[in-house]
Amino acid sequence: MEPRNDRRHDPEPKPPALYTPLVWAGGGLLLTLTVWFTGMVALFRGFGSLFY
Amino acid sequence: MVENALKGWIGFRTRTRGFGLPFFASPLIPAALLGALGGDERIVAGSALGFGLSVLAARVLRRGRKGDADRAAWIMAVGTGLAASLAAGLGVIFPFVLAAGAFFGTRMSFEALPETAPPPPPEPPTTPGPIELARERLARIEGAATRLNEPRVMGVARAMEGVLDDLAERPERLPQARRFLSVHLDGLERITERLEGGAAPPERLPALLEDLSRTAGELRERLRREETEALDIQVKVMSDRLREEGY
Repeated sequence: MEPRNDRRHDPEPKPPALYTPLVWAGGGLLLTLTVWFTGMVALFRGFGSLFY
Repeated sequence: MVENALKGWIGFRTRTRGFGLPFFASPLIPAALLGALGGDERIVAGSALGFGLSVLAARVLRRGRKGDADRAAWIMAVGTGLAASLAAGLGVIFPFVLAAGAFFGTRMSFEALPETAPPPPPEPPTTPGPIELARERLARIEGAATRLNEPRVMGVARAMEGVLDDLAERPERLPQARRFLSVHLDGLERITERLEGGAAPPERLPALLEDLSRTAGELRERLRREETEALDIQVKVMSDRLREEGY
């Protein structure tokens, strides 16, 4: 019988996929295209509100 | 080599996660200022909500618990949608598209970063049992007796403490003593309160206190006798069985 604390068959934690930085870059790009873009449009509208 | 570099990068991003989110929403700050100067409340409200929710999302992400990345992504989506609708004035449909982009952008940006399990909920406070409650009340009575310099009250309290000690050792006998605890303890408590309130002790008080002490002693005696009787019966049953088995 195997001892209870035998960890030989424990599944190894999966290493992160090598393309993970690409996913991060994609996320950053999406945030730029959405959140940053929204902020910039709001900024232009705010600037416009000074004159109209 | 590449894996080690990636692990190091993940460690760095884990330590600094969330700090970037308010940066993406930072144009909303000057937008709010300009909107305020221009007197446009919708721009101010939308910008404040958008930036505020990005800070909240960053806070949630910093916690690093399981599911926090999803929560932060939802918060970013709501913030972006509100900012796009109110501050940027992008109509009805486009804010939803931007909100979806912010959601997936946040999810992707914090992919593969470790999240810890939430801490277990705190254990509910244990309610004290009847013996503990009675002990607390007796301690208050003893304190009052010391202040009043009443050795007779103290004597009764000590006798009742003896009963509680017996009951603590044999809690199965508690139902038999419940009436004693409620009547005697209530009575002694009321007497002490009156004495502390400045009442003069009546003539019958010493006799009553003596009775209380005596009945406490009697109860202890009865409990002990019942215990002895129970043991006696146990011994008799055991002896009979041994005899029947032929040992």
